[in-house]
Amino acid sequence: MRPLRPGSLPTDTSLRFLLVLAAVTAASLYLFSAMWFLFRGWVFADAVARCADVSGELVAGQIGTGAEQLRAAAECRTGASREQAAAELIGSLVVLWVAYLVYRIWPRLVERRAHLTAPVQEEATALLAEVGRLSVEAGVEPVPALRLDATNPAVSGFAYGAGRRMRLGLAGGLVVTAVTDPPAFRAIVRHELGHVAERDVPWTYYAVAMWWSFLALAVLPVTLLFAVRDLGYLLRLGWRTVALAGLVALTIAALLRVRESYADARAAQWGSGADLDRLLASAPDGRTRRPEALRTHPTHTSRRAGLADPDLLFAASGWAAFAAGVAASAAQTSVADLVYLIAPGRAGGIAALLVAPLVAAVVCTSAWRVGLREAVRGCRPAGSGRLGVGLGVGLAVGPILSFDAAVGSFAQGASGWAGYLIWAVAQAGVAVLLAQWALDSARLRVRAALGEPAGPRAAFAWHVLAMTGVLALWLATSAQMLTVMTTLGVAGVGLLPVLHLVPQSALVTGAGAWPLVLVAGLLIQPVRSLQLAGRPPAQWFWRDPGEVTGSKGAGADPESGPLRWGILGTCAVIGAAAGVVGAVAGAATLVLGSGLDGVVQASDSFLLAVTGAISAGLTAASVCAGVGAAAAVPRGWWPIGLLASVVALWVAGAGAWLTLSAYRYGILGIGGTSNRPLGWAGTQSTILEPGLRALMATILAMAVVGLLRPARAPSTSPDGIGAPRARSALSTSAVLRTVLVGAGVMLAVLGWIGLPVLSALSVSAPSVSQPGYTVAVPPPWEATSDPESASTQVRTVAQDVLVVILPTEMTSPVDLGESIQVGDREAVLIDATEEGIVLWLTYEVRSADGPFLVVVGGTTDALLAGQQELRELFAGVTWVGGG
Amino acid sequence: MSRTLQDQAVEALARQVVSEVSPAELPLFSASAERYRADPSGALRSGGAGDRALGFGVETAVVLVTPFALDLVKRMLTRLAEKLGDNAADSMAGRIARWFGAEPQTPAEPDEAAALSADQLRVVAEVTRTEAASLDMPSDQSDRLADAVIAALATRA
Repeated sequence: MRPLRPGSLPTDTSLRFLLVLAAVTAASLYLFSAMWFLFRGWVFADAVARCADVSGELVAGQIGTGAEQLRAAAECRTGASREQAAAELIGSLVVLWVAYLVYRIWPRLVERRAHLTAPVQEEATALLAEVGRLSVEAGVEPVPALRLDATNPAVSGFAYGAGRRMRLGLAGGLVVTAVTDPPAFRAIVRHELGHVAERDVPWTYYAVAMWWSFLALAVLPVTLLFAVRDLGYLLRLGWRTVALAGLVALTIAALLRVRESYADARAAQWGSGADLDRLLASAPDGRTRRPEALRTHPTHTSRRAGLADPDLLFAASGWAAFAAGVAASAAQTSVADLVYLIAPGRAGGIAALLVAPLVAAVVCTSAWRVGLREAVRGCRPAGSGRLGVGLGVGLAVGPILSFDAAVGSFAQGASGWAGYLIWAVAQAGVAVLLAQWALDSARLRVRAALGEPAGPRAAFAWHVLAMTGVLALWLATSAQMLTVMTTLGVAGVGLLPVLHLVPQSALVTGAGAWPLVLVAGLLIQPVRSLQLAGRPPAQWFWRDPGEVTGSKGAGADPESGPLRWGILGTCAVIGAAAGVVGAVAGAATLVLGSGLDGVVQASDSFLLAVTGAISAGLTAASVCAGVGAAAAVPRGWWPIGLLASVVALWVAGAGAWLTLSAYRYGILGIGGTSNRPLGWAGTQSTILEPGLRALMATILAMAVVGLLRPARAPSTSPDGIGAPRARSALSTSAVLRTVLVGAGVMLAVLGWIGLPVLSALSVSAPSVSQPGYTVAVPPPWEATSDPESASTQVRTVAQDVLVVILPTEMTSPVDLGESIQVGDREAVLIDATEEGIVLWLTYEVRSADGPFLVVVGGTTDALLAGQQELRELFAGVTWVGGG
Repeated sequence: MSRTLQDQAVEALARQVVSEVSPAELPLFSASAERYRADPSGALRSGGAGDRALGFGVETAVVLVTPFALDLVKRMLTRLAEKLGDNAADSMAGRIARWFGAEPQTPAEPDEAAALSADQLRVVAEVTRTEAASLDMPSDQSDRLADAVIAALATRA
């Protein structure tokens, strides 16, 4: 059996170098932020205090405005943020630059430390000739220069150098072996030449140089400075510093180990496999007590296994995915801070785009190597679970290691951590799905790409590009979601007067948005099934089974769609399942939210659960039904589907937002959904964007699956290792049509069915046109004419601002459709106006006359306008709760 | 670094010894001698300072005799100087250097072409075996080195 060529795809060595680079950068950003805070923290504190006042002026109590308030505060803090970001950037660049200097002078340091000298030509003629011959045989040219560590008795050697100037350092023991055991000598020299051929020498030395530079310039100064100036803070930073340094160290160790395996594979390719195996079998395995993860060389057992089966190099690496996830997500916030200097409005998205290539490269490299092995050997693919779990856990853990988490603006309190937990589980789940999708796509593409004259690298690059786009969308979405679920709930900067409500809002946001995200993940599955060649489920979807096997066309009806109607049933099942997920998530979240703060009431829980179920179910069922409806769409109609899909995306987003807004009403105790449009401005709310982007990411992912499918594939590969090609299950046009028409149907479902259903839910809610809404009670305080509610007072303090004071024995209007009697007229305490949501805040007040409930209501603008009057009105009042 | 006459003699005789005892080390000889001149004790310590983390990763080793051969010859000449005086030692060093291929910059003395006398050889053998016994290496190998030194000088004599 001919061995696979390890170099036919990007190797794990190059990948791990990228990881080291990313890990060092992420850790340096973190540590230099800490250093800046140590010396200039007061600048930040001043900015926070000043900007809390600024953002406080925007306070309207409307939860949906939290993002705007946070943004206003961030803009106010720009000066301090700019300085902090500059410190991070300069510090990190210095670490990398010093590492480069060390890397350039390292060869001299190595030669000095190991007393390496050039051999004397007359003495070492045979030695030089033999090494030259081996080098030329291996295709390693120019022949690396030889240097001798003459008094070192070890039978060893190493390749070193910087740039293109490579050298081989041979210990004296190895030189003697050239005479006493020539095969062993050749094996070791070939192994070292393998490093040169793999071009891993510069990467390795630069990675090690980064480690020392990172320790000397970042870890050590921060540790010493904090130990002297702020020991308590050091302890807070410490474990994160250790964790990040550990990540860097483990990644470098992994790099050093994997390069040895590749060099062994090269030596074996050049004919020294048996001799290497003999050497490894006969020599003691040093440092066997050290854990594998900390070793700089694989165990001899692992190396011998690799020599016996070089295909082991073509496996998915869960560790690499984990490290990539941690590095990417830990760095994402810091990178966003840096980007904020240039593009404040799009910092999050650009930061995601900058870190996504790392994750994409890791996932795709593993996927392609597994795919290549499967394509050539016909073995069962494995490793997507390992890859996905590693990536998911890494992405979930990374934010904890970020500097934001260290300074305390991350997941404080039980509700904050509960929000984080929900986010992390969903994140890991979607990562598993993404990894599966990547692996499936790679398996299909690699078969065709093997036949390309340029080899599979070009197709691989395209796949990485596509995966980068999907991941960037995903990372931006999930980062925003994490902010909503943790930071917003614990902003702690006096941004919201209803902080006691915010944890629930964060949790409910998660409950509302994650069904959409899970649906997004679930949507990948049908695509996978359709895409996999030869799988019975895939054939079941198609009218012409030849679509799957690649022999389509004979019996296909050109005027009918390619999919069977039966897919609709499948989609309905998926939609129903998604609905159940939504219901469970909504209910569970409400139970959790109630348990934490006891604010949410049972009726709201029911509302939320039902609404969540409807939202998730409608979204999933409509999208899936759209996929199925492609079966009925004649060919050639796809431009209409394209137009429809664009509109559908926005309508879907609006539908999701409308549903989620019902959550907000429920949380605020007003209940029901509005029967009036809330305005497109609301679609930019914190709650909408994640859901919308998740949908877009899903659809983009589906499109990419189809658009980048290889169109042709010769039957043989240039290196002769290609297996007979299997064709992809799905043609590009079929996938495109499926996605576009599906989106069009989603428009129909959400536009014509979903919205009326949502509106129907609000039948019990009063209408704005209902008589009695306009309660005009002239100032100052005026008792109502209702003798039964003598203590009930109502007044307006500004235009459109209504204050109602109730005795505590009266029910607070928190239930759906609740109204109160004011005078001889019924006043309705919920509504929305053209200007926005009417906000109702309920406070418990203790005064000399006894306890009261105070309900303040009005539009956001009106409340802002009436702030001064409100302050005067309640001056001297002791607020017991809620305020 | 300019080499003294004694250095030249040491390296010339040691090279001869290595070629007899461990010819596989000859490609290393000049580099070993340079290292020995710079740091004699460092050259004798086994286990070099090569980059172990980035090396081949199999920890096996051989015994390199070259540093010990250099050390043995140097010690022998030093002890002879102590016993016979500097002039006699220099004379012997000059002869050894010329016998074994070195080209000392000092002009040859009239008696430098002459072989060692039996008494001189006996003294050399005695000193060499004494010094070899104190080398930090297995006794059978140090004995082999001593025999090779004495044999090299005896065959010249």
